[in-house]
Amino acid sequence: MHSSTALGIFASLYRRCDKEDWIDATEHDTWQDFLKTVCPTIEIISLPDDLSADDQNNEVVRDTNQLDTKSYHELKKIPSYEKFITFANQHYIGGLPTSIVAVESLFRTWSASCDSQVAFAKQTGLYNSDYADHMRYLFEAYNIQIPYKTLPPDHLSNLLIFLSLLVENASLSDVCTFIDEHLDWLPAYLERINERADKAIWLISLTQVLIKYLTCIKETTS
Amino acid sequence: MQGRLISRRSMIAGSAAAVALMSTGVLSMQDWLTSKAHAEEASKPSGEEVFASTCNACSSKCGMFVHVRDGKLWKLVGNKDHPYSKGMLCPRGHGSAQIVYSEDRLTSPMKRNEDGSFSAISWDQAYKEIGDKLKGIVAKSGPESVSIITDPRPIGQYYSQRFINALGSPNYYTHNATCNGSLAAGYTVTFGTNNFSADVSNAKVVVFLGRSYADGIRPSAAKNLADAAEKGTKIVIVDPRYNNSAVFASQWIPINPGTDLALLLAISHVLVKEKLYDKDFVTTNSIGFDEWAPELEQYTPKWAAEITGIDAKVIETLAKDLGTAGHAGVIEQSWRAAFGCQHQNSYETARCVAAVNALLGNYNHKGGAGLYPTAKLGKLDETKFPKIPEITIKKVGLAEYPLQSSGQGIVNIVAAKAKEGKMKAAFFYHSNAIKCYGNPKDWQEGMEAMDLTVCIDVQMSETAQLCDYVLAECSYLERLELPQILGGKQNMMDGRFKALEIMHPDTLPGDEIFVGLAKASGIGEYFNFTIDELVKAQVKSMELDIDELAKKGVLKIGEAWDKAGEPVTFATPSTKFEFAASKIAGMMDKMVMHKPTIAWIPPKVTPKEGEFRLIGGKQSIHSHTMTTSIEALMNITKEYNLERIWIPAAKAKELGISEGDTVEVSNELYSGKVKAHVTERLNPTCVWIPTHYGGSSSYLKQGYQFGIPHMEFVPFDFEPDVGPPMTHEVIVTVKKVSA
Ligand code: SF4
Repeated sequence: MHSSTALGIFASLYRRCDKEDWIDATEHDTWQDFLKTVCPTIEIISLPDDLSADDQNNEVVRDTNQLDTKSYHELKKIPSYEKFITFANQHYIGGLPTSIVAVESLFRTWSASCDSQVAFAKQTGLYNSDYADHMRYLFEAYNIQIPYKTLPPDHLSNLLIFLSLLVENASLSDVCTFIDEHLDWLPAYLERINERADKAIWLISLTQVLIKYLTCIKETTS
Repeated sequence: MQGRLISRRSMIAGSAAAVALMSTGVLSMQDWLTSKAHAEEASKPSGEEVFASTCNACSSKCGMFVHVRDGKLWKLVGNKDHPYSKGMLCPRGHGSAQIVYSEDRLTSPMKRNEDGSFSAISWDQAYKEIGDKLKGIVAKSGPESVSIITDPRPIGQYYSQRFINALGSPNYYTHNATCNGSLAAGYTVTFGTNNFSADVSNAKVVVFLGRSYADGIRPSAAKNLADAAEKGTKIVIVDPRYNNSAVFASQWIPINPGTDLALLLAISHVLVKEKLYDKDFVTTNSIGFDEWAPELEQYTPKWAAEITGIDAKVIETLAKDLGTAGHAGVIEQSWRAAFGCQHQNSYETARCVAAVNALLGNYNHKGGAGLYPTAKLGKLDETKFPKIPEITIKKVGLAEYPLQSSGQGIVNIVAAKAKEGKMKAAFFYHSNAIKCYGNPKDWQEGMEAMDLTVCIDVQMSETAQLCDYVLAECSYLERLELPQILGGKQNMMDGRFKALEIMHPDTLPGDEIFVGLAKASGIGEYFNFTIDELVKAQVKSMELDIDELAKKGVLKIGEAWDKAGEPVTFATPSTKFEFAASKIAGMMDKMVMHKPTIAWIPPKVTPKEGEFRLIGGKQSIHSHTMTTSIEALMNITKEYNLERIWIPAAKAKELGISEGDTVEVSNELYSGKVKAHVTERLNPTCVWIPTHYGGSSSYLKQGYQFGIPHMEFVPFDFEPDVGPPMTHEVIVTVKKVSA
């Protein structure tokens, strides 16, 4: 699977996607392909014949050390759409103690500008920071519609779609710059998931894999 | 299939232009910030727009201009022409704008799950389920079983009232009963309107009863007070606590809480006995004086001294100072402060404030008590804005509390009747009822007993947390609201215009939410208009221009009032000031505690040895519980330990409590721990806490379980005949827990 497609799949999983998108992203073959792509260090060395497609967690894998075998196994337990959307309705919306909205601004200082005169300019944890503005600018500069218009421009789903375009079309150094500048908050996001949704093992695994996959992209491209 | 993953939803893939451009390289965040900063230095950014609006951080709703750059809030500037801000906003006003970008904002309508958690639902689902349930309740239990509770600003007033009335219910309630309800009712029965305005700028002597402009702040009022002090006006602060306005005062009188009525009766006694009252006014423009004057004989300064803890000589001097100032002596009108809703005698205290001013004959005199008329909106086109059919059933609570301030309702009756199984549904619009109005446990029981509870808010308040449905409103800077008429010497109209685009697309302005609810509840015919149309019609009805209002933020209505010194026609049944109230005389069979003339009513509870009365009040950086979710404001609270309980120094010494110790405050309803502030600046019979803290909504992280919650200590009760909750009729004990 091309990395841009893999990033598109990631993008579907951090938002309240509709059933069609969910099925597209998690349908059996696609998901196998996806896992192979995003967990490149995992090598399946034996898959017992008698295991059903839904129960392949006993397959024997070898991890060449960079990716977590546990995450890989967890990601194979794809939740049903109903389970996913119930989860998303409680965690992917704002204003709840369980909110784990994947928006970059929430992990940034609101404004770098020295003459912003609002009292909270230097605070973190607010929507629509400079980083959101920069994303808005980038989408506009490249004449690209914001992919998920109902989400902030710096929502992880939008960032990942943008990255997928960079991977396909931009220079390697631009890809790295973008990852370094706009996706370095993911470890903090992972911490937040652990704090507010510690039972969401599947999402925790997905995010761990995403963080490592981004490193792989950078390493591959450089 | 995999290709669809990107291309179907996301636009781009086939865009040759995009691909070509991308290959020229991406401008990095750092480069972009630098170039942006240079552009800003070089010239004023072309993307700056300015919108007229009003602050939302407290009830004053000061006029302001919102500067927006590239779609984002850039700065807020007080509107110089607005009578409340006069060009300034207070720190709370600046800080609270953070709500627009807050992480704690609700971003979607939600439904409560059985385990108490919430899940996002669509607006269609929310409207359908609420509408179906509401229609069922009205059909089964009648429209009198549904109610709405709202912040009484124009948008809340208009849409909430229209919505509930269109359902056939009169049950529209505001928070006023737990704010200035006793005061408004007491004033109305004596001089015919629910408030007056002390002419502080021109007064010679002005007495504040518990009210502190520097704590419950409004910039223009605080400035007037500072100017008056500068001019040498005698400013007397009567307050158990040396509040933050006391720095401007000539005298601080640390009265026993709940005894202001005794002070006022004794002042009246002296004014009458010493013939320092305005005989002309009393003879020609009042009724009931002859009935009342003999009763005043018992209320000597000596008698009052026992009750108030104020030296009789001090009372006598104050009365004489006021009498000598005559028309330019005034008891300030107050608001919530000492007798808005706090004691068993609050209504009677308000009547006596009005009576002292009447004895001074100061109504509509320079430096006295101004009764300025407030303009009313003109008629609107009834085909576009159809009238709601008249409702014949009476508002729930009116029978039990017949002296209540008309229109506002006794809000805690909703919880009381819900507990009895008589109130089945309640809507809350901009209202944190359970945390602010009465004991939270009683409110919780009431809410749990109802079949339908719905909250419209921008954040998950304690009340929202208990509702079946929470409908996410966009913030005040993202919506257009109805214009407001401002009373005063010069009537004005202000406007709040939309300054920012809606950031979270699943949030809606309140007016649209009401339209959705109305359509789903079968009363859509009364909401066939947009808010733009309504705003335009209202502004036009005052013969004002909407474009000018949008530009200036505030416009004058008619000429300024200039009737100082002219005789007043009071809006009472007798058209005169009523020392003996005709309204009460006409309903003596329904009275539990009141009679036509003003008499001493003691506070309901009195602390015994080892006990304190628990009193509460505002701090200038917060508005009730609403702003405790704002990080910028809570940082100030935390930096200066503003959540501490004030304990009088002498009593603290007896209890072995030192500054900064942790103490436990307890009564039969609640027990909580908080740090102590030991002070000489407090009457020894009470302890004082700020009323903002002790949040119990885990959704609002900043204020969650920080400080102690005032209302938890307050018994769920109603002022006899009147209805407000008597929030200072509370006894507590305090003990040291740790140093
Ligand atoms: S007094 Fe302060 S908080 Fe209240 S409306 Fe005015 S500026 Fe806003």
